[in-house]
Formats: sequence, structure tokens, C-alpha cells
Amino acid sequence: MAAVERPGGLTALAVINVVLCCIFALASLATLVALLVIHPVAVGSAAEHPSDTVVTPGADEAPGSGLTAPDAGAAPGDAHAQSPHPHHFRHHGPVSRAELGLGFVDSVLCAVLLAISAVGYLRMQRIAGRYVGSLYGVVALLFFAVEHHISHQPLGVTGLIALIYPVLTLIYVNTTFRNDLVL
Amino acid sequence: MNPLAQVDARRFRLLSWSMFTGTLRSGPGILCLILTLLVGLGTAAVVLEPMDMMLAANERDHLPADQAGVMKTLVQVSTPMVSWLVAGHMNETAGQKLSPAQQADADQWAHYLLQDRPAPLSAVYMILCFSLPFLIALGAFDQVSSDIHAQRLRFLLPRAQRATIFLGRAVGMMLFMALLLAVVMAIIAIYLASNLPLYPLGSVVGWTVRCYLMLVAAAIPAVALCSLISASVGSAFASLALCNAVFCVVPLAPLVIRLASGTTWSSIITWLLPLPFQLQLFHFSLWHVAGAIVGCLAYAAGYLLVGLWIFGRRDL
Repeated sequence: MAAVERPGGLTALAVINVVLCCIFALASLATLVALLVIHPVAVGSAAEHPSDTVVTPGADEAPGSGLTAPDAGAAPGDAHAQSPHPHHFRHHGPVSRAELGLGFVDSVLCAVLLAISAVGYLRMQRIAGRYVGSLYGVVALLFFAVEHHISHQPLGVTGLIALIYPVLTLIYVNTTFRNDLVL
Repeated sequence: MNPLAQVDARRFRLLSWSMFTGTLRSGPGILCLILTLLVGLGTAAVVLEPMDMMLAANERDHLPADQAGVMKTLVQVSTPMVSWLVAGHMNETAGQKLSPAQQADADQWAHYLLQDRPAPLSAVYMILCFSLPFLIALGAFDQVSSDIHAQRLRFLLPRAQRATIFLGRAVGMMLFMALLLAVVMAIIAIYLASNLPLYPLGSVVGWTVRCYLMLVAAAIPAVALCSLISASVGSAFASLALCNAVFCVVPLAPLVIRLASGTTWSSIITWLLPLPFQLQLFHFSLWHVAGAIVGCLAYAAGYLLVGLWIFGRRDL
């Protein structure tokens, strides 16, 4: 029996999946470090210095980190005030922990689904390729929506860029490559 | 014998459609699609993010969210830059300093792009127009070259003439790029109309449709040049390298030669591509726009005829 030839597009999708999988794996590690190391230190310092826990709406906030920039009003020569020590960050508390946790779960889940679907694309399998690929698209869109809901940030063009690959995956595996992912 | 007379309309349509769907399924096609979306939306992010940041700063300082004021500030800041860009283009074309009339024309042009039309859209579409050849090269480099290399075209030759195969594939690729541009520009226009309601919907839609036609006109010669290179080189990799090299070297070479030797004759090199009048597609005068479109189509016809001549004589 002649071997079924894999379309070049499926190979390209598999390669992109592997690249994104590596990026998500690194992101999950970074989020884990932030969750286990930086966050408890910041919470501890916030408890010691209650004045630092005041949350100002719209303050100079690092997006997604739950931490804010050092006090802007500090004197220029004050090295202690300018150091990036956690004492000098304002903290959001439970919201940022939820964001970090959600980001970690999102990264791990996406990395696993991308890896499985990459193998599925290469072997042209229905379950590992089409179904897991579709699951990745749905999960990525759901997490995107939930993260935006929690962070209360408006959907910008940068957000649209993050949606490109999940949407394209959903379209491709369910239309263009639907009849190729059948093994 | 006229090669165009050999084109069979039914097979031409079949081959065009086959190329269009084949590109959607191919690796280069998917990469081109993803990169075009990334570049288009990335450019839009670069242009629109400062505005979002200024609005956020207003909100933080408890000032009213004055979108029109923010846009006015941005337009004021960017008008001299656009005027300089347009004037620089004129200067480069003429090879001499601008006359007062040309400077006035440049100022009017900048005013038209930034104040008469939706400024963010003008900026995004102009940047997209100049990055388009590189994106097209990624998708269109392998129209016939890998088939020539693998000698697969001999199975097609008994059913279709060479001219039908060559032109059918070129037109299929043009359709793919037209669809891709439509998707990218529709996303940007919908975003601008829904999130930043500074301009009337009719103005946004009208300018997007007009820019779409202009970008398609700019894309056609680039696809045709890729067809020519693809027919000339019997290797997909060499074709990709050559396409990108041409699109990089031709705009940069005159600048480098001018800086190195101080001569101005090197601007002739830019006429290898429709670069000298590509910017005219965004001109306020409809005569300039019509001339630029005719020029782009003439370049495309020239590339396709040369490619057809090469493809008709090479060993397949």
C-alpha cells in the first residue's frame, strides 16, 4: 500500500507547535518561579509594611505581575528607595496570585496540548491531531477570555495577535486538513 | 506565435484555483499567512498603542478620556515626519533638492493622509505596503521551481500549455495574497471602528477599501516577479533566496552607492522594481493614484512576459 503523503502545511503547523510548546514551557517555569519565590516574598513584605499594600487604581503597574514600580516620590540619591527590593513594590494580593496561578495552568496546559497535537499532525492522526489541536484552540481562547476578565484590561491589538494561532489552528484542523487527519 | 493565445480558459481557471487552495495547504502558504497577520496586526499595535497609552495616562490622572484630543496631538507630532518621508521620496526620485512647489505638495500630501483621512489607518497601510514584498516572497517563491526541480511538470504538459500553467499559478497566488490582505485589513478596520470611534464608519470603510485596492495593486508586481524568479531557477531554496535578495538589495543598493561614492545615478536601480511610484498609490490626486496603478500593472505584465518567455523555453 502506498504511503499517504503529508501536506506541507501540516508539517509547518507541527513545527510551529513545537516552537510554541517550548515558549509555553519556559513561560510556565517563569510563572512557577514568580508564584513560589517572588509572590510570597512580596506578600511577606506587604504584611510587614502595610503602607505598601495600598492599591492605587491605575498606578504604574507591571502588567500581569501584580507588582508596581518603586515609589516615584523617592529622592534621587536614596539608593534604598531606588533598589528593586520587594519592600518598594505595591501589591495587589489575591488578584495577582489568581492571575499567576491561571497563567501557570494556561502555560502548562497549552504546552502539553501543543506537543501532543504536533505529534498528531506529523502522524496525521484524528484524535491526537484534529481533536487535541481543536482542544488547544478552545482552551487558549477560553484562558484568554478569563485572563482578560480577571485583569479588567481592554482588548488591544496586542491581544488580537495572541488570538491568531489558536483561531488559525481551529480553522485549519477542522476545514483544510480535516480529511488529512484521519489515521 | 503569441504565447497568450495558447492559454486555455477552462484549464487556466482550474490551475488558478488549484494553486490558490494548494497555497492555503502548503507550508510556505501557512507561514506567509501567519507572518502577514503578525506584521499587519503588529504594525497596528505599534501605531495604536501610543494612543491607548495616552488615554490610559489621562484616566490615571483623572482627566477626561479625550480621544479626539489625543488623536490631534498624535497627528500634530507625526505630520512633519510624514511630510519629511514624502519629501524624501520626491527628493530621491528627482535626485535634487525640493522646490518650494514640491515642498508644498509634500505638506499637502501629509495633511491629506493624516487629517483628511483616518491617520492610524494611513500609517498602518503605508508600512504594510513597504513590508508586503518580503511577505509575498515567503509565500510565492515556489510557484513552479520545485516542480521543475522534481520534473513533475512533464505529467501536466500533455493536458495544459506552458503559458496556461505559468499564468494560472501566478494568478492563483495573486488571489491568495488578495484574500490575505482583505483579512488583515478587515481586522484592523473593524478594531479601529469599534474601539476608537474617532472617525465616521463610512470614512474608515471607504479608506480601507481604497487602500485595499492600492495594496493589491502593489502586491501584483511582487507576485509576478516571484513567478519570474521561480520559473528561472529550478530550486525552491534558490528561488526563495533570490526573491528576498532582490526585494532587499534593490531598495538599499542606491542608498549604499550614493553614500559610498556620492553619485546620484544609482537611483536608476530602483526602477527595477515599481518602487519609485509605489508611494504615489497614497497620493491625494486621483491622477497620481491612477498612474501608479497603471505603472504597477505594467511592471507585472513585463515580469510575467519575461517569465513566460523563460518558462516556455526551459527544460522541464
